[in-house]
Formats: sequence, structure tokens, C-alpha cells
Amino acid sequence: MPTKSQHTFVRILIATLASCALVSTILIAYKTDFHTIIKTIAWLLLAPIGWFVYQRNAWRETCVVILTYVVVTGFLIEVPRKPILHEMIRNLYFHVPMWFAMISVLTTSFVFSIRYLRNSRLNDDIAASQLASIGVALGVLGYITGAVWGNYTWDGVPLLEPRLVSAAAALLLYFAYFVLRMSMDDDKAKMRLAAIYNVFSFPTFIVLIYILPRLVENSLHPDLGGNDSFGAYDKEESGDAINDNMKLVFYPAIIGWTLLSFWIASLGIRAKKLFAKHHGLD
Amino acid sequence: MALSREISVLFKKEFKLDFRKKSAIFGLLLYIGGVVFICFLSFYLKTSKVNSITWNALFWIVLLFVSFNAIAKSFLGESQNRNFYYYYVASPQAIILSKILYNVAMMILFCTVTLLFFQGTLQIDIGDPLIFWLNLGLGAIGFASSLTLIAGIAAKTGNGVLMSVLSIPVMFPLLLLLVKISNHALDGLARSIIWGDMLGVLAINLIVLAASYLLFPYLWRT
Repeated sequence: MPTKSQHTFVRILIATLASCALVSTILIAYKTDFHTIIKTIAWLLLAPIGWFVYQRNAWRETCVVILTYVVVTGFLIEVPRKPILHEMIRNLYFHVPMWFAMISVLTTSFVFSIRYLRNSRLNDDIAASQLASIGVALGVLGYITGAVWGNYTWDGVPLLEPRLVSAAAALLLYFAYFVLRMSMDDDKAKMRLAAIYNVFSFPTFIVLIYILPRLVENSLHPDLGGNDSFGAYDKEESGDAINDNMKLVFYPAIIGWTLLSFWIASLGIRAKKLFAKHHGLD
Repeated sequence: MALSREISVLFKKEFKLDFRKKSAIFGLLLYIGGVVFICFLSFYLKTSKVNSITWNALFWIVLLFVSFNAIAKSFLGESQNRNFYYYYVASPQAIILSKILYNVAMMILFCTVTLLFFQGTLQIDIGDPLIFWLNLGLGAIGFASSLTLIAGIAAKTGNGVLMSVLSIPVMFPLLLLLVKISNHALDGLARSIIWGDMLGVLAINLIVLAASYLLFPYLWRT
């Protein structure tokens, strides 16, 4: 007898296949080229895999598989040959996902802070603070990978680069958050003030990361100030042979590093919860 | 409307408290005068003028620290017992809005005074006065609205240093845009370039105001 979840899985699979057929007919009707159709269907097929991972609670295993794939394939796969970048272009799989992961981790921390303000539960405060510390660690890693990269491609790192300036300010926000947490003894008041500051500073964080770098004209950083992003590098070079090769590693890398950072954060949260339980804090 | 009445009453109360004590406002005016005088002396100018970029940086840094000192005291002056009293008679939204409003008024005063002192010592020609004043007004509103809630947080911790530690990163995007616009205005460049940044400052002000309005009830209860 198939179980209920297997029934659901089959239903999802059938629904996905049906929607694949529907989408491909639409794409054909709009005279889209064959390559795009295949890619779109490949993305749609990820839905049942995601459902399976969710059902089996297998995201840790998925993280290990994806990151192994990213590291092995990332160093082996063919990449566009660009004049200054050369093989350094592979740093894309490590530098950029750090920032993506940082943003999703810190957004989750923000959500937990709001939850803490709504119902004052110790667990929400633990989650918010642990996620924030992992976010800061990811930010520092992103900084280091970017600094090493910029040192060779830009011939030294210009300190006035807008991305660098606003990323440094964004990290300062969270350092201030930790200073606030450290400066108080009273637990209830500390948690509440920290949650308020976290929620209050999050819009500033978003402004710093997404809006401020876009307002400047001169920048060396890709995707800013009229520079191409790596998607364009990936396209223009070398015809069909390795067209969009980097995306095959880059998109899984984003998912993999994000899962890994949530995994690390979840370990910290569990440790803190056990500590709190042992000392009778809740 | 009840909220606007509460706000006006509380606003008048803040005004009366500060003018009764006098030391607060006159102390800050003296502070501004002293800081600007030190800036003036440290350049040791006899004939040449200070260039506009230096002037601008100095001006906004002085304003930043004046605003820290001006706004930090907005929650320190009142005792715990009086806070309990407000808890019964007023809504938290009215309290935060009245405090922000009062701080905006104070900041406009202090910005004007700082500018006057600067012009009295380190003179400079402002290329586009309208944009410069508009920017100064937006800056005063932005300083007041983003620092008031943080002053509340810092007052609860009872740690004086925290005020500047917590507020400098929050002020960062606002200050960056203000300095940029102010530079343009001093040089008197074309206005069309600057409207986007002005809009950015306005948007940040609105976001910070909304966040203060939503978060203050939680801060108040601790």
C-alpha cells in the first residue's frame, strides 16, 4: 500500500508534468527557441525534488550533495575566458553566494525578532541572535573572498568602492546589535531592546545593500554603475558550446551555501536552547 | 481627533520643560559655538579660504554630534515614576510622535545656528541656497526621526556610550546622501541630478518614521 505522502508525491509529479506540457506549448506558441524551453522545463522539474526534500526532512543531505557538486564541478567545468579574470572567474561560486546567504539569514533573523516582540518567547530571541551572528560571519567571509579577488583583478582594493562602503556599514549595524546585547545584564529587557534594534535597523540594512550602491555612477564592481553582470559574461563568449555553463554551478551554489549557513545556525540555536534549559532560563 | 490633541499637549509639555530648565538648550548652543570655534582655530586661517569639500564634511560631522547630544537627552530627563504616569494618560504613539516633532523643531534650530556659526568663522559661498536649505531641513527631520527611538533604547540600557554606537550605522545611508546633496548645492551644480537623491532622503525619513511609530509601543512596555 502506498502511503499518503507517496500519493501526494505522485499527484505533485503529475501536476508538474502537466504544467511542463502547458508551459512548453505556450513557449512554442511564442516561437521561443529550443534551448530556453529545455531550461524552463528543467527548472519546473525541480519542484517535485523540492517537495521530496521537504517531506523527508532531507535538507542537510541535500546541502552536502549540492556543495560537493559545486566544489567539484565548479573547478572542473569550462568557463568563459576573459582577459584579466581567467580562472579567477570561478570565485563567483564562492563570493556571491556568501552575500545571498547573508541576506536570507539576516532576513530570517529579522522575522524572528518580530516574532519575539509579538509573543516574548526565549526561543525566538535565541534564533534571532544566532542567525544574526551567522549572518555577520558570512558577511566577513564575503568580504575576504571579495578582497582577495579584487586585489588581483582591480590591482588593489579601492576603499571608496560603493559596494565595499555599504557592505562595511551593513556589518557595522550588526556589530552595534551585538554591542547592545553585550552591554546589558537584565535578560528580559535585553532581549526586547535587541529585538527592537534588529527590526529598526533592518530597513537601513536593505537600503545599504540594495539601494545605495545603485545610486552611484562610477564603480568597478560587476552589475553596478553600468558594468555587466556575470550573466552577460556567460552569454556573449564562445557560442553554444559553453553557453550558460556557469549558471549550472552558480544557482546550485546559492542554494547550497544558504542551506549550509542555516544548518550551522540551527546547531547554534540547539546548543543555546539546551544551555537555557539546563540553567532553567525559560 | 484624540491622537493629534495628545500630540499637541505633549509637544507643548516638552517645550515648557526645556524652557523652564534653560540649561539644556543654552548648553547645546554653547557646545556648538565651542566646537565651531575649535574647528576655526585648528585650520589657522589667515588669508585663504577652506575648500568646499572640507567645509561640508566638517559641517555635517559637527551636526551629527550636535544631534546626538540634543536628542540623547529626550528620554533621560524623565524619571521612572513620571513614565508610569504617562503610561496611564497617553498613548505610546502620541508620545513618540510628539518627541520626534519636538526634536525636529530643535534640530532645525540647531542646524540654523550651526550654519550661522560656520558662516561667521569659516566663510563659504553657497552656490544654490534653496537646495542647501531644503537639504538641511530634510536632514533635521531625518536626524530627529531616526535618533529618537535609538535615544529611547540607549536610555533603557543606562549606558551613555551606546547612543553613538547604535546610531552611527543607522545614520549612515542618510548622512551619505545628505553630504552628497550638500556638496552639489555648495558647488551650485544643476538641480536635475540631485532630485533622485532628495527622493531617497525623503523615502528613508518616511521608513524610519514608520518604524519608530510601530516599534515604540514595544520599547515603552519594558
